[in-house]
Amino acid sequence: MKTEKMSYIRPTSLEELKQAIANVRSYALLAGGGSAKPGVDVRLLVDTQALGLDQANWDGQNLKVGGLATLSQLGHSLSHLQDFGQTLAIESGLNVRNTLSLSNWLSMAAGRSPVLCGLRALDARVKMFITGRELTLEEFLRCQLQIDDKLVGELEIPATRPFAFESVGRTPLDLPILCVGVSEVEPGKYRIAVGGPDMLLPVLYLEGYENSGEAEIRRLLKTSDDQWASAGYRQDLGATLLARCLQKCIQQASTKETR
Amino acid sequence: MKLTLLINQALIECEAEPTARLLDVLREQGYLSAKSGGCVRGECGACTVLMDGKPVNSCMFLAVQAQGHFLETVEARGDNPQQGWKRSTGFDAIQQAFIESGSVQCGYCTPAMILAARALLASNPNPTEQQVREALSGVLCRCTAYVKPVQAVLKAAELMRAEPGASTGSTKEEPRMVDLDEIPATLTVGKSETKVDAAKLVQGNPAFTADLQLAGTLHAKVLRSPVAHARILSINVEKARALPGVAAVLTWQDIPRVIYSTAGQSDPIPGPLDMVSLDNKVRFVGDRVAFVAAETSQIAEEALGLIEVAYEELPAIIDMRDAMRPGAVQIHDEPDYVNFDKSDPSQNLAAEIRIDIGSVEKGFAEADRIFEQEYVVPKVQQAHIEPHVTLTYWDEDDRLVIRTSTQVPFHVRRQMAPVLGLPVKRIRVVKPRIGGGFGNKQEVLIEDVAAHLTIVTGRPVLYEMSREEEFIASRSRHPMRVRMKTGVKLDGTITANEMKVLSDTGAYGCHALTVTGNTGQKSMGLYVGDGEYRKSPNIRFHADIVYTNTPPSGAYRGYGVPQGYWPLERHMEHIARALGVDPLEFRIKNTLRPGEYQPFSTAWNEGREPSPEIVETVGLTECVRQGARAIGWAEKFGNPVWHSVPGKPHLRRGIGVATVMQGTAIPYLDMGGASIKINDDGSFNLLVGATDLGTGSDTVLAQMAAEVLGVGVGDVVVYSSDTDFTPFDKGAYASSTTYISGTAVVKAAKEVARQIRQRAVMLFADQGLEVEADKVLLRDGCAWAPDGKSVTLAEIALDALHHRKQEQIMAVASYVSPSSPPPFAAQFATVLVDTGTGQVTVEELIMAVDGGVIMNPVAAAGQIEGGIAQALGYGVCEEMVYDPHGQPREKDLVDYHIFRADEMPAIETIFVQTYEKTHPFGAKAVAEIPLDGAAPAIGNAVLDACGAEIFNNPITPEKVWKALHDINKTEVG
Repeated sequence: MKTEKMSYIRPTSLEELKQAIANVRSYALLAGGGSAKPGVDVRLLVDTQALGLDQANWDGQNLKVGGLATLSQLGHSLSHLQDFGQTLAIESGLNVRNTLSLSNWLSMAAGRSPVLCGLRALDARVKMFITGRELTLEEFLRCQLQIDDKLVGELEIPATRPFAFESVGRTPLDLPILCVGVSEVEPGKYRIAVGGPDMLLPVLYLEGYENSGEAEIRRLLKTSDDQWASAGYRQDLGATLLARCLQKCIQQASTKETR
Repeated sequence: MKLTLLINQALIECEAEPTARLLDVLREQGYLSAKSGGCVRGECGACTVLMDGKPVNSCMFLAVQAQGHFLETVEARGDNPQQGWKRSTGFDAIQQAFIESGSVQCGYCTPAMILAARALLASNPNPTEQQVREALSGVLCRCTAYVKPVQAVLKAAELMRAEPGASTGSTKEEPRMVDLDEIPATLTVGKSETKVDAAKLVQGNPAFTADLQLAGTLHAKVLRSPVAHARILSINVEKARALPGVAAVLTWQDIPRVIYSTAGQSDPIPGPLDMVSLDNKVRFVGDRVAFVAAETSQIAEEALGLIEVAYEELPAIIDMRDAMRPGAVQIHDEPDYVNFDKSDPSQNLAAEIRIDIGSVEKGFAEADRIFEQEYVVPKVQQAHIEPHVTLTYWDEDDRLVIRTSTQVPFHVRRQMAPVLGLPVKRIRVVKPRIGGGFGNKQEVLIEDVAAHLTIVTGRPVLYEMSREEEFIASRSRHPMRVRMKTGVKLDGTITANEMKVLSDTGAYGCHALTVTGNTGQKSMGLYVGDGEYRKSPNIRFHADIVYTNTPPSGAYRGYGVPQGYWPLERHMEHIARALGVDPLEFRIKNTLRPGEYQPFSTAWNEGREPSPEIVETVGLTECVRQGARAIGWAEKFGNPVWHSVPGKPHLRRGIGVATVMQGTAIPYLDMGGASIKINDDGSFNLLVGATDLGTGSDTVLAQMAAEVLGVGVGDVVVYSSDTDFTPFDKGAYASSTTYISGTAVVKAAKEVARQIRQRAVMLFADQGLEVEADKVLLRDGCAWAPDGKSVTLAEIALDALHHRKQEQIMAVASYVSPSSPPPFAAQFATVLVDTGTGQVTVEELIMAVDGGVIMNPVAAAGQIEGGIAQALGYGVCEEMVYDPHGQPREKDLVDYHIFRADEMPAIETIFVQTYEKTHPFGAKAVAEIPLDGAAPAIGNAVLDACGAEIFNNPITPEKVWKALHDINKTEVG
């Protein structure tokens, strides 16, 4: 690896970071712990850990957590959402949760990620750090490869709503064959994210307590055959898991468990 | 660039590349407790360090990022209290608890677990068991099932809280022992002695292959085939060779072509010779194409990308059923292929087995009902946390030293000699600590890679496989298709039992014959029928072992036997239920009893002359009784109240059983040697070729020597597995070490004891005491005369070494056994099935084992627990799947899921001790049998819970769901 001319900085402000990368042909942002290695042609390593992006704060309804906070920190901040803890436990063991920053995790999270399913159900929003651009998580996932700014500055998560998550894997903590996350965005209106298949499936909305959503989720999973499961199984499973999630949300709403 | 790291409260300044991983820099600076598991997504956790008090994976940070943080490795913890005149505080409470509890097996992940525990207890001094399990969830262990590590952390927490009344006693939790025979009293054998290697492993001492860092070491990488079957038309390595930092690039054109087998087995290899180091043909995705050695692994990796290869793709056989179809492409068409027995490469046949005992046709004709079914068992991976790793170098005498993570050092030496163009005497093989093997290192897998590169460069070469390479290019359990056909009387008597197997050896035929031979021998050999059929059982075992264009299968703990018990025990369960016979009674009625022939011993011996053997010790019935009582069989089986979960009609509980038999060594083949000598202080050096891979064999062998010599285990210093210094041993496989190597140790110890007694007579005579040598008792480090006078072994040693008629009191002995007394076990399981989703949660696994007299109960229980965890994976989640082009689905430990600490079921071990007369202390084996029963027991429990018949493991949710919707059985009768 050609590293003779590679240099390293740890900026402490956005201005300093922008200045450092302004005239550099090829740089890599180090955003906490992660698996990706800088490419062979990188000339500047920019370590973002001193930019204060590891904080978590509440603004009443929403949790705002920095891009360099870890999955563990996310879990602590959302500990009141019991089912969200399950997404993290399935996502990985404690070491990886302590190590992986949200920014790095988001750059590689895909359909099988239970945490991604949970955050999509909660309709999280993403704010990029360098450009300040704000996107929904859905927009981010659709076009992250096209976004020049690779550093997630903040995740904003509406986390006072009823939230439920169900997953089926080969073991209690195996990555999901199928998982369903549901949050009640308004009374009687539910946002549903489905994970498990490699590809990202569109989120669904259900309105009305009497709507089971079975037809919608079966339609969504109609072509979800992949190397892990058949579509037929996932359709049945999706209907079952959705019903269980909706039941939990209704129970939460009725007991006012959320903050 | 210059780095300043704060490690264990010391500021360390060093130079490193800006992109150097924290793991690599730590290791370069001597903090070798952080280990590499070869993974890229941090899934194994072996590289754990504490960063600002939290356990993180050091492979997932660059070293530059770690500046300004507090780093802690296990080197900061306690150390050995005995360091000469230097005072030491000794081990900390966590380390001590790990040592005492038997938590340390291979030790590769031990430092990581200790650090994770430290982080937990620093913030939560009174954790629950679930919190401990969550704390350990980031560290994967393949040896312990996390049972004893969790116990150790809880005990350490208790001691650290120093609560009034807290037990300060041992952390050991002894397994339940039931004596079926009278067991002679012993002082050391049979006791849960602390493992002799535990101390170094809790300190993270540099004991593993990659921990030896030699100046000038090159790093090796292997270019691997992207296609399943192809000829190499051309290969251009010029750009790779020209890359700065590259020392050598080798292709099939550069090294002599020598045909061999990678199976680490005794001479003559019982299988075809079909492998060369580098060939002009590739036979599976991942097969070798070229070797590179470079100054750094990054440069070597870059060089791989510069090698230009032109392939002529050939049709590929992925499904084993296609291997012998007319017109199938021939995978091995090389002219120097060497056949063994009935191998026939023109038919893609690596081996063939035809065993007929009695007459199954007669037995079927006499049956009231006949049951037939096909079962399929998958390819699964050993998934040891330490990858295959080898370091080769020329020593000062121009001898090639191969320091390697192997279970078979002597086979490595013998089998590598012709490949490298060196005589055996110019090669030395050293096995350091192994971070798990489970059979995958009973293979001469990568030593040639590093050795060829050392030969061409003259420099040390380190080759460590990545986790992906372990999945695509090492070995695995043979997948098989098994057709069972069984005839029974209505009273449950088996009249005939037939197993026909199609076994997939993958691209090379290593272990093809012997693994599949075991499949029949040790599973079908258990069921002999009843009444007249017991005296003359009717058994058929036919197998074809075929080549396919998938990664080669090889040895995996259990060695073919788990593949036999999945179909056999599922089949027996189905039959018992169909007949309305209690599953336990059905098994007890038809299985082997003491004094009967192992039926296969009359007909099969891996291509050698059969050696009929009567099985004297069979504790199976008591194992069934004990296991049934422990799991509450009588209360649960057939009890509808227990099967249902109140308020949750979609949940169903089930209970299942499997009875199993394994083997203990291979008669007339396995040989082990031992050498013992006395030291000036009355201690002993025990040199054995036997290979401890975390199994505790060093400890158990020391116990046996200590028992005979009348000393403590601490007075026996074990050195093992060095072809220059230790006697021959065939290596760690076939569950032979305690039985074969142990007997060699006892023989040597008895001869040393005899010499000691002779010397003691001289010393007693000095005191005016006439004593006959055979009346001298050795105990407590002394030699005792009948009248109570004693001399110490130190006095004897000094007299012998220095004072008069000087001699080195020592002996060498070896042993090969005419018998192979099998261990037996009953495996029980309870499950919870979600009938709405098909998800199966295993709640409890209990195994009652007859392993003869248990030499070290805690260590043996650790073996059972770890084996059960692997078998659990075989039952519910582990499999290696390939697409039609031979591309693997599983390439890491994320997609290939092995159980974490925070999702394990409860596991219990019970030992039913029989006294096996053919071993000096009554032992049989325990190492492999725990792999055999869990999968079918779980399958039977799922059937019990909800009626779902699963014929192919693993028992995935979709299979359960499908079975619940569509039962598919065939019955002829």
